[in-house]
Amino acid sequence: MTMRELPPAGRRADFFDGVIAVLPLLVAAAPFGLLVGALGVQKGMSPAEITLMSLTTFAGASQFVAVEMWTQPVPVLGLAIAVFVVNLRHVLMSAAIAPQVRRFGLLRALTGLFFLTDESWALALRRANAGHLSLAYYLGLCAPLYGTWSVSTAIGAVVGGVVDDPARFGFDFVFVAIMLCLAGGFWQGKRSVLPWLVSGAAAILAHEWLPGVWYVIIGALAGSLVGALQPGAARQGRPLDAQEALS
Amino acid sequence: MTADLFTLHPTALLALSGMAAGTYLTRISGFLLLGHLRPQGRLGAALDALPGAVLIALVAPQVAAGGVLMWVASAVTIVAARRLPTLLAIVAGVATLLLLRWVVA
Repeated sequence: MTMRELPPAGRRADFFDGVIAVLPLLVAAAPFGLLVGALGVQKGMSPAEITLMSLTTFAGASQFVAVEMWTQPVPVLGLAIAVFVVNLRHVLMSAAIAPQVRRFGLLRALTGLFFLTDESWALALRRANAGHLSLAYYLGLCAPLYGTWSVSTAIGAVVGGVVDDPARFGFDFVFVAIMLCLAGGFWQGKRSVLPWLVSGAAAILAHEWLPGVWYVIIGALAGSLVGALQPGAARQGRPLDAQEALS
Repeated sequence: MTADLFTLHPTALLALSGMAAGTYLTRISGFLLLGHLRPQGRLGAALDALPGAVLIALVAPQVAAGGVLMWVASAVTIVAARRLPTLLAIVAGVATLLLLRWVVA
């Protein structure tokens, strides 16, 4: 397995392509970073602690859950389990992107995956579908997200209460809007219809009946299963394999 | 206030380590389980359908519970995303929702 090395100029161009692709999403990440910082301090965490959480866990939804659970004494095991469960969707995501990141080499892949988020993952796969995903492009996606998330957490923690109620400014919908835009990049016409409908329906039902965030896993698995079982799925070639064969 | 800016309580550090380790485990395990495979056939189709399914599952309950105003805003976002750059599509969707909320209120 050979890793395709780009010349330095190509690497820089790829990195900045990634930065440009992720820029619109930073606008949405920042308010939530401010909010998680402010909430963390309200719950009794020090600004250093909540910022360290953003630097080491770096996963928005699970951090809001953790902050909500943060009491004295700190429920160490409960927090670890809750955060693990909220982030279980990453297992599916890293499986889906495995064919691409393994070309980075094992050590770089394992380092790069530390920065995997819904946003960087979706944009990275979109890039792979459009041609070739380089490590430089992937880092161009991850670095601004990581910087924005941790800096905005720190600011929110120190300044506090900057964003009282995200719903008031429509920020509750910003996340939904981003996910819908990202989903649009994976629309494959007719063969997406059934998986998407099943995924949405399963997620809504699971959200109704099950606690926590199992709805994401159940919806995703249901949609993916339908994608695998629907007529013609077995013969459906992957464009990524064709790309790999060429390189 | 300034004094406890940089406080790092040992228990808090332990909790943060557990959270970080658990999260990293989720981020690498799919890769470690499937990284050596070359997905084809139905497994390939399943992985192909996965990205859209994850993203739809993430938002479906919130959109469903968001009422008619959010359904309209979601539709506007999807239509806009097909013609406009992502940032403008997001702005169009959020502006629609804020406008509708303002009109209804």
